[in-house]
Amino acid sequence: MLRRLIFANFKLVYRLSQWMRQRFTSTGTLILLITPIAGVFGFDTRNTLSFQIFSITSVLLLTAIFFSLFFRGRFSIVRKLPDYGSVGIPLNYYCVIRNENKTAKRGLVLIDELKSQFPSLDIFSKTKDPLDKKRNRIDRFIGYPRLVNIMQKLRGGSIKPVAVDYISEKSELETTIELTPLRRGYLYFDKTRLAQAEPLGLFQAQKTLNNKDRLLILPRLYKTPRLNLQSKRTYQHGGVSNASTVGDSQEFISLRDYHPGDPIRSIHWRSFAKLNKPIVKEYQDEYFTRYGLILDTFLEHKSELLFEDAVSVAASFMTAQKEQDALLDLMFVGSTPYHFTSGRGLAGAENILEVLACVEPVFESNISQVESMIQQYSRECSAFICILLNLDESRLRLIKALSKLNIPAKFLLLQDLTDTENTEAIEENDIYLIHHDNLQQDLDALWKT
Amino acid sequence: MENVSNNTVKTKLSPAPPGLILASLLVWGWQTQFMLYAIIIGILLELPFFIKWRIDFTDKDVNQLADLSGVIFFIMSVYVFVNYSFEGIYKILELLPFALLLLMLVQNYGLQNGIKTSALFISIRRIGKSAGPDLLYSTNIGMPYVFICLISASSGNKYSDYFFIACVLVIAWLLLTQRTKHFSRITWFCSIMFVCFFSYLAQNGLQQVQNHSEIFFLKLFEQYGWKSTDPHRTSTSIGSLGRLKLSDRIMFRVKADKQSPTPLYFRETSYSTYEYASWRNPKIDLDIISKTPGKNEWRLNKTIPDQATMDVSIYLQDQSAIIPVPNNINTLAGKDLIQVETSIFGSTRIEAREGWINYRLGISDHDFVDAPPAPADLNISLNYKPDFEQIAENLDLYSKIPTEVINTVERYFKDNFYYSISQNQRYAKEQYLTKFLFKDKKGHCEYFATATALLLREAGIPTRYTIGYSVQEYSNWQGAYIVRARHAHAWLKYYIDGTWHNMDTTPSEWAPLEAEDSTLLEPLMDFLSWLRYKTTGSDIESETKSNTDWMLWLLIPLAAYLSWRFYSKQRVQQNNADKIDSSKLERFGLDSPFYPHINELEEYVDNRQAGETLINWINRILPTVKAEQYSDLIKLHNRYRFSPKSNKQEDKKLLETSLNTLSQ
Repeated sequence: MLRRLIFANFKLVYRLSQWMRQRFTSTGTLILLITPIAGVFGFDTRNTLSFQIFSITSVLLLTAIFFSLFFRGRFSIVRKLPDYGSVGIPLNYYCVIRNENKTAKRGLVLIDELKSQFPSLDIFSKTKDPLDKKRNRIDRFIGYPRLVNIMQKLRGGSIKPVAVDYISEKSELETTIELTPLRRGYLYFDKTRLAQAEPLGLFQAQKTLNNKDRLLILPRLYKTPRLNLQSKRTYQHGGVSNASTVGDSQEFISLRDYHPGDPIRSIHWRSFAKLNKPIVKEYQDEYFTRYGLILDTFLEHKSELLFEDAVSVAASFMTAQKEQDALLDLMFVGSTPYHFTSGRGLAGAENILEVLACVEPVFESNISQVESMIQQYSRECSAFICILLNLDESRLRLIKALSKLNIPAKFLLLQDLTDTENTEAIEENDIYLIHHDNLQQDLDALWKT
Repeated sequence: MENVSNNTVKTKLSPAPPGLILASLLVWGWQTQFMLYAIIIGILLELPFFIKWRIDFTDKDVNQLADLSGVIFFIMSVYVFVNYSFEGIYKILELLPFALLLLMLVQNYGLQNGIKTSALFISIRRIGKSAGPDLLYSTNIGMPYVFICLISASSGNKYSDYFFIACVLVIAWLLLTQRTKHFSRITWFCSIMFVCFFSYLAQNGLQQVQNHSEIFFLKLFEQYGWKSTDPHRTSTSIGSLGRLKLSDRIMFRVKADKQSPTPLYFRETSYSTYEYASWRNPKIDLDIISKTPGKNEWRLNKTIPDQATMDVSIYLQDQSAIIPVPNNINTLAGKDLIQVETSIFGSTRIEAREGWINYRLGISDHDFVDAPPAPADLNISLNYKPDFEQIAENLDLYSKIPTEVINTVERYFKDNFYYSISQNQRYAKEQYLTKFLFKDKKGHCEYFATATALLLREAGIPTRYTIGYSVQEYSNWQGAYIVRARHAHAWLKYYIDGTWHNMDTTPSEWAPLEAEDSTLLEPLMDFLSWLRYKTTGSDIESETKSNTDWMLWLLIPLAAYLSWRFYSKQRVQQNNADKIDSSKLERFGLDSPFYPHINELEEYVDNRQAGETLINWINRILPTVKAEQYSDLIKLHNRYRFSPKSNKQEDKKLLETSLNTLSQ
């Protein structure tokens, strides 16, 4: 009940704080903060003269807001976005502002906004913020800093406002804007605002323009080793159609009699004419290396940072494989089980990264779906790489099931440095640990091992 | 199409322009009498604009200095609170520029040119770099300091109009540096004038609002039962339904001879006329008592010596108050007292400073305060006259001499009535006293005192209804009588043989009955009250020496303790950090014996390039035969360093022996 009450007020507080951030300049914010303090000390006008400061600052703010009402202007803005961005790496894009007024405009500020969505109480309760451990009890209990972090994550990036000092009448101006993506997936642009401070420099009048757009942010990539799992090549049912030049698809063996079902294009027409019965060309079976990369998406109670690491590791593996003879199958379970194959002639690294950019964690574990996927593809895959988020009984069962298949498999477990559980199981199953704070070094070490 | 470079908007506070901090400090000094300090601090803070050298404070230094500022502020607050009680908040406000001086010096003389939010909030400091860039960037606190100086100056509460002008000038100066450049100076100036005009009106309006609202609420309170000691009128709880709720709060302390007969009656005032549950007096001015020259003493009769003295400590919420005093008071002495007045109805009003004050009472064997009886002291309202006539007849009071009447009435109430603080029956307003006399026969002290006073009047004895406190609870550990709110009592005075005498017909079990309502927290609250009394009270005699001076000495060990805690905490944190580091070293294999060997190789052969693997580096810098010798060693090192399956101790030993062999 109390939690609901507090959460209900968060929306108001958050919107108010956002409004204040957008509308007040730094000096305006200072005066806004001083006003209630002066008001409290000046409540009894006989004790202090603080009420005079309260009067001055209040009238200043009201005057500033009043003057801001006179901001007029017609503008249009076109945003030019790049195809992709990467998490944590600032990117620049362009905005073309057109001043459609008959007069030049000065002292404008361009504020581009990403769409922010307020989380539901359920999401708020389930989301874990790793910083909470370091916060004081009140902040942890109230949870507002956590909400701010969730909102930042949902928004997905931070955009610096840009000053536009002068734009002449009936003309266009191109500005460069810096965006720092904070998460992978699609970032949705919502509105663009043009602000102008009033004469006192405390409050900004704003012109809001709807300007919807989206930008895909790819997962963070790490330097990863080339996989060497001592696997053998396996027969690929469907052969060439799956991989045009991978494996031994064009190797001719012999001619044989036609069997119903043989493709027409395999008929050797000259022999047909000679023998007056259909003869077909026989090719060597398709054999090539195919790795299955299983991404554990069942986050349960673990930190989302681990999941992000897991996605990054998966993305790094998927992009790092340059082997001409290998295909890479990405398997994970989202709302339904997903399976994507990449390799020459099939989906490229960009497509797979796009898929990985949009992978979401699943909070309720259902490992059996992964098991059934493995059973389904075990005949085609030469080896499996399994990126795990946890090592509970169901996952141990999965590991055992994979081991029984007699297919080489590598298990990577994402862990916090402080996590020291399941050490026996880790050693027993030859699981390689990748720590959140030590990710690149651990991947480098994996290379060496 | 034109192009504009990426010109990001300034989102941080700018530094205060040169001279502004000095100006705001001068306003503060002018208002608070700290002018000399204001000039010194102002020059100190403005000097960095003219000199180039700076001190390179690390984040840790700034954090420690910010903590020290916090400790100074805390000590200052404790000291001020002890000396000025809650009023001290304005004193703390006045001293704020001192408290923040250290931070300002660090900012102005440091290279960072600002203070990080993490330095001000330990919670952000704990989160560290993850707190986000906004919280870790330096913010210049120059402009906030200007406003703090102005608010501090406002506590001086002087020269209202000039202060307003000074504030407007300082704020306008601040805004001038922040003004939006695309508007002309004239527009800006007009805006400021507009603000000046309306803010002047607003500040006048605020004062008017306070005046009018005070009058409105005063009227409201007067209308709906403001209960205070009024020498002209008092409302009783006669007729109030339910149970009387009486607080345990200590109202005053009396240091008297423990052997004094208890209860001691400390009267606030007496009343002569009763009507409809309220006693009142005719409106008369109180007489000002002249002060004994050269002494903080007020004597009613300068010729008769005092027979006994009592020291009283009382908490005054206002500078002027009616104080409880015993009968036959002759002298009032105390340095906190400014003026003493008495009324013919026995009230003693003093003017003194607010808070806990002490005074000494001198008692003689004469009553110099109460005037002889007037006709009103024999008057009984027609509403009650028949009731008391009936009782007087029943008790045969008309035929008795006054002393017999007193005894008879005393016995009558003792034998026929009992004490109760509950009234559950609802009657007409004027009937409560009658029902008390003839039906319920139970009530609290106000019923007994009123009924006895009127009955004695019926028998021809002048009486006055008296309110005050019954002093009866002696605290051994405090060494004084403590008088609580629930000891408030009503009794009467009767006039026989040319003297006023006290008479209390309320059954003596009233005090224990009311004490039943005391809370479990009473001892704790008593202790806190005593602590506050001890730390905020003052001597009766001494003019100059305040007994709070010892608190200053207390602050020194407190400051030492806080500093010790502060530094020892840091030491502990550092030790812990060391421990963590060593455990991490072991855990991650960072203590591998191969590392010193790498350093040696780097020193004598060639440095390892960034991103170069160990094996590549060894292959590059050493001949092939030698490099092959190293390959197993590197594998072992890597296993020790990274593999969770590594047996750390064994691998370490193996590495050490291999390295020894290799170096031989």
